[in-house]
Formats: sequence, structure tokens, C-alpha cells
Amino acid sequence: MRIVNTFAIVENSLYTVQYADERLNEFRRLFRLWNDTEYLESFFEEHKTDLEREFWRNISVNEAVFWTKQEAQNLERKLIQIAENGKTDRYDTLSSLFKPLYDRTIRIEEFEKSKVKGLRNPNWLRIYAIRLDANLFVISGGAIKLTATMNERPHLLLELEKLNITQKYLRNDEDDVLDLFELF
Amino acid sequence: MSIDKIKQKLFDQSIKDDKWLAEAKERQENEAWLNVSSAIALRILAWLRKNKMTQKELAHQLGHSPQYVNTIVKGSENLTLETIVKIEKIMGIKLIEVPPFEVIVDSSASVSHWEEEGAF
Repeated sequence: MRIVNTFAIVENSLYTVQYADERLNEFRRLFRLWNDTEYLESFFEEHKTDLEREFWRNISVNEAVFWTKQEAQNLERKLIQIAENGKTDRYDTLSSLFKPLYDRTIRIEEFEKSKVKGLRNPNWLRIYAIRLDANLFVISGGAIKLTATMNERPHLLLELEKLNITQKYLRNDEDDVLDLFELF
Repeated sequence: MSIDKIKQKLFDQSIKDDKWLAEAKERQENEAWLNVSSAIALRILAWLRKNKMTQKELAHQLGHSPQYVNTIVKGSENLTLETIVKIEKIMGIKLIEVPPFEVIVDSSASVSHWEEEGAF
């Protein structure tokens, strides 16, 4: 998996990458997918056992599709609003939305792996990004996360790999260390 | 490379994506009918799965292209009544319902009034 381009979604604030095997950058790809009934129905049918866990309150596949579409629109609106606000208001930046990937992170490092969850709680929508500054993030991907950790499902392991690739791309270093088996 | 240089490189080399905003606005403006389209798509997808029919086969029966049927099941097609009724006929299920007519009879109204107007 190789990054071929970076895109400005909101200039000087919110960026995203495009991988060689994709037609679209990750930001647009994600929001198209999360509005695609066929994709969502197929995803939730495939992950029906995860969806039927008590945590998700026995939501049906059809309800999950509608809920995801609604949440995706809310998240999209919020991301753009904050990315714009953060340019002038230092208390309303993307950092209020993006959190470190690892829940127990105490000190934020350079190129911190980050995530943003959908707005309502609990929520399975995730956008993953690398933090460059309080109001500067580069989106590496995103996913529907129905399990407690990212290590349990291949599509979430792939998102960890994409975070590593984006981090490495931005750092422009040659290390290829993949920490795929950490729990968070 | 320092973080400032990395930021500057990102600013300088990134392509401005000016298409996502139009896409997002379009989704928001059309939300109401897109939700109906999505509800119809879900019923079609469930029927296709249950009856082991492919989108291509449905397209053939409908006399449309497979690409068109794919837009329908993605929930992004502003369907015509003609297409909806065609699909209903093939599947033998209802995709949309129109509430039955309610005839409100005003007992105080006089028929002769209409007769005078030449309505009959």
C-alpha cells in the first residue's frame, strides 16, 4: 500500500491521503461508503454477530444502515465546521474532536496516531489520522468498528497499517515498524 | 526534517479537493428522498438475497443496465413511479405505499348547490 497524493479538505487544517489502489482520497472514499446503502447492508450482514452483541442493543441491519448514514452526515458537518473554526479560535480546534488512538495516552507525541469517533455515544464510526498540530490532521482512513479492539477484525488491522504508512510518509523515514498487535 | 518543514511541504504539495463540499451539500439537500431511496434499496437487497437473484438478472428483467440497478441498490437513485411499479411486479412485494383515499362527506352540503353550478 503506497500513498500517491495528499489532499487539502480544509486548507491549513484538514488533510487526507490517497492510496495507489484507490480512485478517491480517503476522506471522500469514507463518506461515499458511509452513504452507500449496498455497501452498508453488505458490511452489517457480514458482521451480524458483532452487531448482535448486547453492547449495540440488538440493532437490526436495516436500522444500522440508517443510523450509520445519519451519523456520517453529522460527523462530516462537525469536522468541517471545527476545521474552519480552528483557524481563528484556538479553543475550538480539531484537537477537541480527534483523540489519541491509544486511550491511555498521557503525553501527545509528534505524529501522534489519532482517531475521531462519531458524535453520538456509543458509536462505531471511526476516522483515523496523524496529528501534526492542534488544528492540523492528516486522515489515513476510517472504519466501522463494532469490536472492543482493532486487533479482532482484518478491516481494522488494515486501518492500523494505514496509520503506520501515513505516519511514515509524513516523517519521510525509512523505518518500517508495524505495531499491529497492541491493544487499545 | 523539522515539523515546520513537514507542514510546509504538506501545504505546498497537497492538491485542493474542491469536490467533496459539493458532494456533501448534495447529500444534505437531498436527504429526504435519499432516505426513501435507501429504504427501497434495502428491501430490494433483502429480496435479491432471499431469492438468490443477481443484480444483473434483475436488470435483465427490468430492461435496464446492471449499472442502473446498482445505482438503485446503493440508495442514490431518484426512482420514477414507473420503475418502482416494475420492480414491485417482478418481486411480488410492495416497495412504497400510498395511503388510501379518505372521502370526507360533508352532510350539510347540498347536492343541489353543485347542480346549480352545473357541476354534474
